[in-house]
Amino acid sequence: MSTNENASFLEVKNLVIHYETDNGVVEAVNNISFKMNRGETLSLVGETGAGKTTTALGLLNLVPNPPGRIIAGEILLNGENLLKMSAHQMQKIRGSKITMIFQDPMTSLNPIETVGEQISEVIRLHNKVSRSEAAQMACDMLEKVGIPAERYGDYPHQFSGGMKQRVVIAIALACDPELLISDEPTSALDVTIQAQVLDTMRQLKKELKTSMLMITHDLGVVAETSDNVAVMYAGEIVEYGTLRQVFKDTRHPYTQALFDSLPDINKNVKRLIPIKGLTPDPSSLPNYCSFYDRCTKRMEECKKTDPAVVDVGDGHLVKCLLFASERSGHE
Amino acid sequence: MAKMNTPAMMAFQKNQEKRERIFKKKNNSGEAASVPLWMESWRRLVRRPTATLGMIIFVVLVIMALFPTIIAPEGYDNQQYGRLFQPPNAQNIMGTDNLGRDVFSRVLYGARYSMGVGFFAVIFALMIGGTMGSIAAFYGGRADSLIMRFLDIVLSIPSILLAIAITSILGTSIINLTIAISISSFPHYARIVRAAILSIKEQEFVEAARAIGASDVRIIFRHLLPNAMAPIIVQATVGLGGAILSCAALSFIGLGIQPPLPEWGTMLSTGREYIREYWWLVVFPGMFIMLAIFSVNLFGDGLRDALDPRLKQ
Amino acid sequence: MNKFLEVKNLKKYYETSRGVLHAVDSVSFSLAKGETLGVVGESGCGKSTLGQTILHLRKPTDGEIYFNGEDISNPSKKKRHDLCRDMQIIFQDPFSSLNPRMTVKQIISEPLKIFNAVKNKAELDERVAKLMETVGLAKRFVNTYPHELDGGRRQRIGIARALALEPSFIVCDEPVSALDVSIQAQVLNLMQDLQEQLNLTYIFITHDLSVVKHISNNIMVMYLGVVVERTSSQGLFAAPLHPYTKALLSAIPHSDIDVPRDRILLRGEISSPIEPPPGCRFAKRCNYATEKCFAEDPVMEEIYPGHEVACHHVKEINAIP
Repeated sequence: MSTNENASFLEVKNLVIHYETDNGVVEAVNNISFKMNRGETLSLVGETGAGKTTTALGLLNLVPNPPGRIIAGEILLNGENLLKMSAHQMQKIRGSKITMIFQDPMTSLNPIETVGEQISEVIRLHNKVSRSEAAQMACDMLEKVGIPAERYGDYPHQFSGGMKQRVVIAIALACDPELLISDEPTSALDVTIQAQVLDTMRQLKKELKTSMLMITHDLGVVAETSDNVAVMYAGEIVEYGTLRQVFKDTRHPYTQALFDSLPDINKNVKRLIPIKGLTPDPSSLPNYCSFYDRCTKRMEECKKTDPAVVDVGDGHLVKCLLFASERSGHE
Repeated sequence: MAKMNTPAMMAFQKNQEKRERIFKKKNNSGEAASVPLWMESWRRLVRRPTATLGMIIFVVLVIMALFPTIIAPEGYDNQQYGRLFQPPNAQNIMGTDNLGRDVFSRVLYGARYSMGVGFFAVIFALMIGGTMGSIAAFYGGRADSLIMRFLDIVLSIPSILLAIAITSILGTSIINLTIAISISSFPHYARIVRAAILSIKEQEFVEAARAIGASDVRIIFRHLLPNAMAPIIVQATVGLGGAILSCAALSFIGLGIQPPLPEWGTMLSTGREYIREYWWLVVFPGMFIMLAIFSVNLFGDGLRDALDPRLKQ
Repeated sequence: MNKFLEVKNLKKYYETSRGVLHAVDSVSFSLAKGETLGVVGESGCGKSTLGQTILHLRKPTDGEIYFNGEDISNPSKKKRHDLCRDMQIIFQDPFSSLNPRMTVKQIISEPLKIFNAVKNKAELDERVAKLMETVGLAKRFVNTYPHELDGGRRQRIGIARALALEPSFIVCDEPVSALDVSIQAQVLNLMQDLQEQLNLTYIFITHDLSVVKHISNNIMVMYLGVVVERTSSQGLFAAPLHPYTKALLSAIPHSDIDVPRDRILLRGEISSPIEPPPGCRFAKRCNYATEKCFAEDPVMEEIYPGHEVACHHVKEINAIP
């Protein structure tokens, strides 16, 4: 996607992931490339079925196989290709270098172990420390995510939803990962609780300098947490840039339409502007622009070719013909 | 959760696409071509070789049970004293028994009794158990606890002993045998139906049905039971194997179908006396009991997978 | 009187093993025909129970409900059945609110069949086709099953089912919360169009303040079973008075990165609605709580015309003389 080759902390190149089912091939992730620098937060935004979660699972090499399969691409973490690693090496990477938290905290917590034990277990798995040292570290971790250390001995069911998600974050951060992938971490929470958890995450990020890949459908959450944004549609990144580039200098018609369809408490509108139609079926994507059918700015040429990614300035990447022609006009 | 959903969801959209293609409509909206739900289950079922094998054996046995008069070379009571204890040969492929009857013909006729009793026993058990389970689950509270405690009591009696007790009280006849087997197995159906309905009852579409004024009866029959069918059908197929076995066992100990009727268990029982010299009197009926149960279990397992939407790929 | 629906001191309590759960506690409001009342609150605030209790899907513990001037607090079985024609509900989850074993046509025609609203099959087909057209579902879906359709289309089926009996009042229980943003806008617009065409009255229940903003005339904010603030939609967004409403509004992540965020972070989480102690339900999390708040129940007080708040300290907090 980009031409300059300075080594990033995480670099994904031309990643393609398919699900091969009895009824055909579902093209979940199509030729995705992006880079992340250390300490930065990148958001993958998109609607259901855009391929966000599959991308994240791909990074961890956890795409359920079968039916999922990573067809092509490279995932370079500190220059090492994760896709070339053995299962054992990958196991080591997961947890120590990359961890992931999911939307539903209950699925990640063991209901019959106290939260303290669960955190210290992770710590002891990745650090050579004694039981009591690990317990001490676990208490610190709990405090860090805003849970009093006295609750070390409580079981998950004694916590409310927001608290559980904090515990999950504590477990994820306990082994001091370089990259934290969060898949819709606050979508299941109430707004006031979401605000608390997002606040905690922001503070932790500042404190621990962890890089974060945030997967969400909520543009508001993106605005509050991210440095860079990648907008996904039908398994592709259609727009990529800094938060300001994407939010204030929106280029791709899909991104623009997303903003328009969003009810916003700061705006006074009588009617929302929906995006007509539906997301295309990932098992029969067109060979032209996948947003064509829903696009309000479509042109004749859009149906002829799959648009290339264009840098519209300062690393702001857009996959749309509108800008390809604009630039070629300048040249 | 999201992790598990994604592939399933996509596969799902995939299915939809396939249907659309039938109608040659090139856009991403759905199409009217709708595959009935049972068709999809059927497709998943036949994709499993073991289930298909089970189904084929089962169908053959059912045909045997339905048309022995056409398939069987002789009647089941055709005694010919000139050919006692003949080993399997070209004429009588499974040999002849102590009264000179063709074992093959008797096994064919036997399918009718063994499987017929099993089948009707399951139907009765399902009717009693299903009704009790639905009532318990739907109304809950006192009705539920009363019914469930009653079932607990029935379940605490070993089912074969219960069946023996019932047949000894009612006397030995095919109908009594069927009743005995259903009574000893209906609590299982009641529990399955209750569990299935309890989980479906919590879904919003039941509330939605109430909101449009649907009566209790309508909710049970239109909304709850159709959605509870999958586990019920699976339990019924697997239960069929058990019922066939119970029928054979009761007949074997003389409480079931009486000679000269050729029930498989009865045949085993008679053949038992001659087992040292004339193995074919026992082996063939025994083999068919085994085949019947084996096929039903394979089929039931396959059905369980095919009807369970969580395993849907 | 211009009171299409009036609810007075409605209560819904549940007996649980740990005590009496106050799901809805003394809620009163009224609603004019053709209006939309937004009911906002977080999970466990009783907003869905309120909607279902008004429709008698749950039996109210106490209180009065008047519909079109008629007392329906304690309807007979027959009356309750007949009320389904006038009062309907749209559910949140378009996945679980439709029977997976029924086709679109069967789902939409079920209410018509229950009420014998059509004479013959031809009329039924016609009505179903008309309803599908009204909610923007293409005819070709008539024989499909819900699982073959996407969330937006499924929600349209749910809306068609609710409209089948031509009700005048609909409780919309989080109708767009399970949908993607782009589809959410489609469905919200549809619901607004329907309201205008059919002169429907809505109670719009949601946890998402931004969704109710432009669709509601009035908004009622609930916390742990009680109403804490009630006013016009503009009034609420322009000047929220209750500390909880303020926090709720400020907690919404918004997508405009140039609008400064002055977030009010609340302490702790929602407390238990089981046997709530006397006093303000919000006191435990409130930054302004005093002893009085833990001792006395605040009552709804009209601070500005049409703007009611239940808070002991509303005047000090907002510097109102």
